[in-house]
Amino acid sequence: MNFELSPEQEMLREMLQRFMTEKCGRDVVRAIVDGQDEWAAELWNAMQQLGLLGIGIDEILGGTGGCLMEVCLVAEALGHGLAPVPFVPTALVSQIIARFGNEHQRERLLPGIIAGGVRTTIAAIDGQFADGTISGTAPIALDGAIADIALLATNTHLVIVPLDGPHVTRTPIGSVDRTRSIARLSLAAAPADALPDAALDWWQDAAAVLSGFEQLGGTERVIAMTRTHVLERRSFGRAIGSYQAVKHRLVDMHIKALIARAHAYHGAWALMTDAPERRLAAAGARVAASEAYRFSAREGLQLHGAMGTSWEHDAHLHLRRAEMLGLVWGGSRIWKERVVVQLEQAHV
Amino acid sequence: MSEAMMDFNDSPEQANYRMQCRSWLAEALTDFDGRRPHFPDFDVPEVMAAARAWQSRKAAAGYAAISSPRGYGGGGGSRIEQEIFDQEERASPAPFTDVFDIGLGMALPTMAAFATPEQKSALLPPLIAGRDIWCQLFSEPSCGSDLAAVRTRAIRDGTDWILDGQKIWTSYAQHADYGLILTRSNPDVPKHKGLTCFFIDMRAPGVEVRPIVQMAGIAEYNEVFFTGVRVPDAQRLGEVDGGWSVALSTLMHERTLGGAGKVRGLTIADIIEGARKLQIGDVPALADGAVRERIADWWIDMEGIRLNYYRALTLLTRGETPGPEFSAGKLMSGRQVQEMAAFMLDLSGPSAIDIGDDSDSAGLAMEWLMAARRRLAGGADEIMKNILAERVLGLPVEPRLDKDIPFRDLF
Repeated sequence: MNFELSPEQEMLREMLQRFMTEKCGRDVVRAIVDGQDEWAAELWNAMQQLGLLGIGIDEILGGTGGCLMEVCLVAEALGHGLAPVPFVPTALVSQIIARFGNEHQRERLLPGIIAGGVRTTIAAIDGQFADGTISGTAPIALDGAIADIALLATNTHLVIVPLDGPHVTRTPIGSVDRTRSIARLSLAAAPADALPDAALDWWQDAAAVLSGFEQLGGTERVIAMTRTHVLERRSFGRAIGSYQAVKHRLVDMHIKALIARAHAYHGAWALMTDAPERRLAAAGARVAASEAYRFSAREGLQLHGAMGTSWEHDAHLHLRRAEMLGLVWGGSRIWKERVVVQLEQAHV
Repeated sequence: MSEAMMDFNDSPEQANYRMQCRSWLAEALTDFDGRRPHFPDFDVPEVMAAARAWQSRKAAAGYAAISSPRGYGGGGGSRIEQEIFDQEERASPAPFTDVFDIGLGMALPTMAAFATPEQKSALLPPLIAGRDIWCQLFSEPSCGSDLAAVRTRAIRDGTDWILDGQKIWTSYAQHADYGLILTRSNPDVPKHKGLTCFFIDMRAPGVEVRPIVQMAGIAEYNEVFFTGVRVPDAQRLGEVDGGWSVALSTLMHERTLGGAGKVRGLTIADIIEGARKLQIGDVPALADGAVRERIADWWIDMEGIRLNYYRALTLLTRGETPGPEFSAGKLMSGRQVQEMAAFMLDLSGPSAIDIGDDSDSAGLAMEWLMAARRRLAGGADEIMKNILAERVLGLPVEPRLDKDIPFRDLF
């Protein structure tokens, strides 16, 4: 039993914190929120140069090495910085291709992803895959407006679909989270390449865990900025952070983050080792992280006072991001149901 | 996977140890009938006898105080081994041994840190073997949360100290042979600076124990009165007037490890089993969406606490001390057991009004009635939140109007 990061992973975390402070300041995020740019391409290039797009992929396959835990740590750092980049969908796709793809699929996709030129989305689609083509609609494709390749999940297949052909229509949506480019994808007999069935079973759990780390990073950021605020802001002659009602609210946020972190680590471990409790661990990671981020974003905004409700303040960016991430792979009721189904099986 | 990597599974050695525990438990428990009360009342002679017999059985086999040195009657093993055994024991119908928890969980580490080698050799083996029961004499009628305000006086008299005063909420004092006590040795300095800790003989002249019957009808707690109780200076723990740091180290053991992974009581498995049997209209309660959501929420919190407790164990294994951040476990688990018990009573409907000894709800009602205590013992929820806010999040400490004033001027 060992429930801590390795020294190398701790070093990576520190490096990522410095990297994000340097490369993903407020101006980078605001440029996307205010519509000047569609996404943070410069940040993405900097990530590529550091090898972060190949992290968790074997060196034999052209990656940077490391395991899924390192991918999760990158997701956490990006969540902390509200980074407007398609890392989680892209990392999900590269992990799935590396893990389940055949040699041809790996050679066709991994080099482009690792080099930064190929961005991907992954989404559930209401549609059918037959005879090498897919038709249907994916109403919400995270980072789909800027993706080159999509992994789309029907009820029966997980397929790879290039998004540049004439069979694909993509329509940007008015996302609750303005830092990410979400699109609706409509496909009419688009050429598609199926992955093995095992990938279909795996992808939602992996999405839950990777997003869980992104949510965890956001949660920690909200707690940190709220803490700073309540220490600086004074009312009735004292810092508002000295009032018990405020202190205890921050403790509630902190405990939810603590619980979310425990589940996230467990989920990452269960995915990496393909543990028998993988589904339960992944669902736990998703539910705990969604709750922690949504709760902290909401209550953190409250503790910022009226200023927290302004467009200029970042509190609403987290509130929006927390909501988007809480919804994108299905809301909490769905995932809580997965938890209980697994628990029922465990306690027959 | 290399050793440095995160791993939630047992290592081969740990798996081996777990199998060893499991087979030992199966064999050792054949001598016990496996019938346990819903809740242990150690005033019942059979319950106490079973506790002593089981504790002594464990000690003889090296399974009592597994992570304490062999020299004192411990098992000489690791914290992880202790946890593995505890998990296996909890899953078994072993007799309740809660009456030893204060001794093993708090007195043992405190004595190990502050007592002399001779005292340790004399006192720790009978504690571990279940012959001696220990209690912790901290709270007083006028102070529980504000522990540093204790008033029980300790006055130096040659090589002895004379104790006068009163303690309250002292678990198992009516059974105890020894106690750890926090006293006021110097009222002329601010409250934290005039405290001294001792261990005392609970049979010493002048010690009077009066059980307090709790709301559930059993008496775990007591009032303990001290009238001219003579305590040799050799039984002092830590420095004169340095008792606050001794008390804090004792409390840390209680709060960090007491509430986290090892809370006995209602489990998610119990809730699922209950919700399968109980019905809402014509369908099992377990098919009800609201019930299912509550189960998921509780599991998320409980499992998160359990996993977080493993983080504390990992730190211990590395020789680091888990900090106050692990206080969250006690805070969360107390409230949760209370909620779960109340929810299950509600699901049971009017029949749950019958909580007589032979009723279906007897055990549940006992959990419900005892749960209130969990949120207070070892630090009230509100105090735990203050500790987390101040010591983990670094928020301002509560205004303390009494901090720099000599204790005697406070009243």
